[in-house]
Amino acid sequence: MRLFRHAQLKHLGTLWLIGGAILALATWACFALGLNSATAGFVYLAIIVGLSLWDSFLSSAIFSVAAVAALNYFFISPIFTFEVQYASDIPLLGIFALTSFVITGLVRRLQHSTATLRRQAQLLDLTHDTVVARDRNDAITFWNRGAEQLYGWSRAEATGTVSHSLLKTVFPEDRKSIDETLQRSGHWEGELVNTSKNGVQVTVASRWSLQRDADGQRIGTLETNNDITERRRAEEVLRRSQAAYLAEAQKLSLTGSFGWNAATGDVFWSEQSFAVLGYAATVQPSIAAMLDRVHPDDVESVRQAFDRTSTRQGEFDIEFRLSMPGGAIKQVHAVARAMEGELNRAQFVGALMDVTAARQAESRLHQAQAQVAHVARVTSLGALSASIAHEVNQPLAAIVSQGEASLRWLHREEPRLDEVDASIRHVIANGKRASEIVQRIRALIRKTGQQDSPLNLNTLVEEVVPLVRHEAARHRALLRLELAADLPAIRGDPIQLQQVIINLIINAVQAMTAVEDRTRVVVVRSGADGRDHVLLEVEDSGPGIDDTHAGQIFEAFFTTKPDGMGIGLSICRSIVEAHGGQIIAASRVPEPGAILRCILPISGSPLDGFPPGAASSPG
Amino acid sequence: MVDRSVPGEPDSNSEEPVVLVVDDDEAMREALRSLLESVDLRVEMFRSAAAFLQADLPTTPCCIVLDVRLPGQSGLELQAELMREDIRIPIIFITGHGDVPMSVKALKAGAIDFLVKPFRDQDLLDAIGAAIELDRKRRGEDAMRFDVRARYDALTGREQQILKCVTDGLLNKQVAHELGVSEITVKIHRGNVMRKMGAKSLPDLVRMAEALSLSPARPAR
Repeated sequence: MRLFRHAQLKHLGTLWLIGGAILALATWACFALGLNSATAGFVYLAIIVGLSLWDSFLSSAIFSVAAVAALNYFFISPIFTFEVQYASDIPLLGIFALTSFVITGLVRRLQHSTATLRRQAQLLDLTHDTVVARDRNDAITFWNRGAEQLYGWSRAEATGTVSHSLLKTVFPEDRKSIDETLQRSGHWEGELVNTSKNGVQVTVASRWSLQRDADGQRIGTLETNNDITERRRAEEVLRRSQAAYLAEAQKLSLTGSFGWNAATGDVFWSEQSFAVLGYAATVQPSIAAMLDRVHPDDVESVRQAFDRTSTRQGEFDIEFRLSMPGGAIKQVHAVARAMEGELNRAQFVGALMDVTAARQAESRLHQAQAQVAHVARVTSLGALSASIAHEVNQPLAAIVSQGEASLRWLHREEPRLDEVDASIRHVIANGKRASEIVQRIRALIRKTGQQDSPLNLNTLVEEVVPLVRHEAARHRALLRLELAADLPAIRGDPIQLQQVIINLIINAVQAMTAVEDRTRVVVVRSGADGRDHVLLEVEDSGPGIDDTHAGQIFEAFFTTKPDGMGIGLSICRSIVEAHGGQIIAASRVPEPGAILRCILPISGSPLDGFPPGAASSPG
Repeated sequence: MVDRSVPGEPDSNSEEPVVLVVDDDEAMREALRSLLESVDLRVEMFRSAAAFLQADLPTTPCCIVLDVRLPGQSGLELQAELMREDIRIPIIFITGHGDVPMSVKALKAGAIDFLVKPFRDQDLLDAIGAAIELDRKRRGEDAMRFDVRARYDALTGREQQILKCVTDGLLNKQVAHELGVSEITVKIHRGNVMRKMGAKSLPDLVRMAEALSLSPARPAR
């Protein structure tokens, strides 16, 4: 501070010394030359202006006062006094003083604004942003240090050139529309790509501001550019790595994405979507190209799904097969929904999943389950073989006897053709009966039945009763049917469901072998819950279910029988659950006994859990 | 049961025989009906043991064609019950699948035959013929026994004593000694016994005495 004060004093001392010397020299010269007061005033004025450029207003004011005093002393009569002889000289002195003050004031303001401008210009040079001013013809009038550094041209080189040809600017939109925006709003913002002097491309965020004169006429444009090349590059790297991750994830999950504009028909496929559909990336994505790949049997339903989605703007969730060139079949699952925020909701985004492997695994699982069920079925039929043999033998015995009877009627002395006729009719009826039983057995031994046909539960029960009724009789158990009329149809595999019924009845019969004090009764009951399920109950009068076993009886290999395998009820459960139903066990009250209850969804109910074709192998 | 066991007519030779069929299978019943009627046998059919037991039994020679396996009471159980009730109608068992222990049990309990379905018609008809003949014979014996008993009951006490001794093989002299009467008295009583009993010869009388001692006093069907 003191140093500063010292320097200032030194500066002022020098100023005043030199200023005083110049004034004295000028006074001496004017006096010696005999110049009049007005001329001397002009000389003083010139000196004061010169000095005022050098320092502050105060110094200039002091020099002005000194000059007025000198003028009065040396050039206004009477000279060598500060008196004024003629009144006409007083305005002269006044005007001189006023003029010197005004001029020194103006010079100070000029100096001040020049300093401000210089500082501002330094600021413009300090910023890393480029600042370029262009005139009406886009010729550069200002080029800051930022521009020099970014683009490589010096201010001198750049000034006067047409900026966008110098920078080989690539505009994000039509230049004409940029100018329109600028003209309309006075501003424009956007990203430009420039090429620097050494040929490097730079991306800049550019802001343009229109400069107008007082009449509103365009006089030029101020352009500031912020170099965002690095940011763009980082973003691009990020985007690429994200895209790479996404592509890799899609590849790994066998899930492609697609976009679809239902209004324009434009379709986008991700790389993996091309792969799922088996198209080269050069193929133009389209709905038609996709439909070309769809299995002929599924084309109609897929087409309908697209139509439905595009007209009702609903969601889209469909599974179908693709028939690939070369004969391979793929199972795919497509989901799509309208994109949020799309006004007309015609833009869809979706995923195309290749679920072939999953479906094949499901199918293999189903096949394995079916095989276990089949083994269990054959095993339980084996246990029923005595009953079944009896059931087949009965009509055969009747046929033999009827045949022999008819021969006897025929060979009587007076043949009784009416009796022969009746006997032969019985032969035929019994032959059919035997054949039906054989067919039923054969159906049960077959591996699978009609997978998904509408079924009447009562019919299923009635068909298996002949197979188990002798087993019941053998255990001296009464078999009673309480079947509800007008049952709604269910869907599923009739053979597997009959297996459940047989297993439950045989279980009930066998559960009662120790019962001696009450009638052994098995009641098979059907009913509807009035909504979307039908019930099948098999009730026995056995000892009931031990509480400690209640949670286990449906588990595989759980059995209370010394020679049981513990397969029956677990098979029942897996079959019932595969049909979208459930099976529960309860004790009968108040009498002892157990109730096994199957609850199965009716055909067409929302809970109809048997997926069509779920069990069929793909293709 | 006993109240239904009305004694048959003494002369049952002219009676038309009846075959009683017990089988739960309607087709089998119908086949048996046709077969038996073709040889002019009368047939009555029952679907269960309970139905059979509730029906009036025929008074004519008959036999039962009985299915082993029946709902409720089985054929073997019905056989046992009939034996308990001393209803001795011959039984021919038929079965869908007979096993050896089952057939042994049935035959030991007095079954005429044990036929496995499907059987030859002639086998069944032969068995039925034999069974009906047996039943006819039994009925004849029963009727004769009834007759003999009536005549025996008509004898005086002394005559019954003489009959017992004579048929036991004693000589007139031994009888006279046994009873403490004269030999001539024995001869007179013996002649009365022969006449009243309708015996043509001593062996005839012996057979009657056997029938009397073997059979209970009450008449059987």
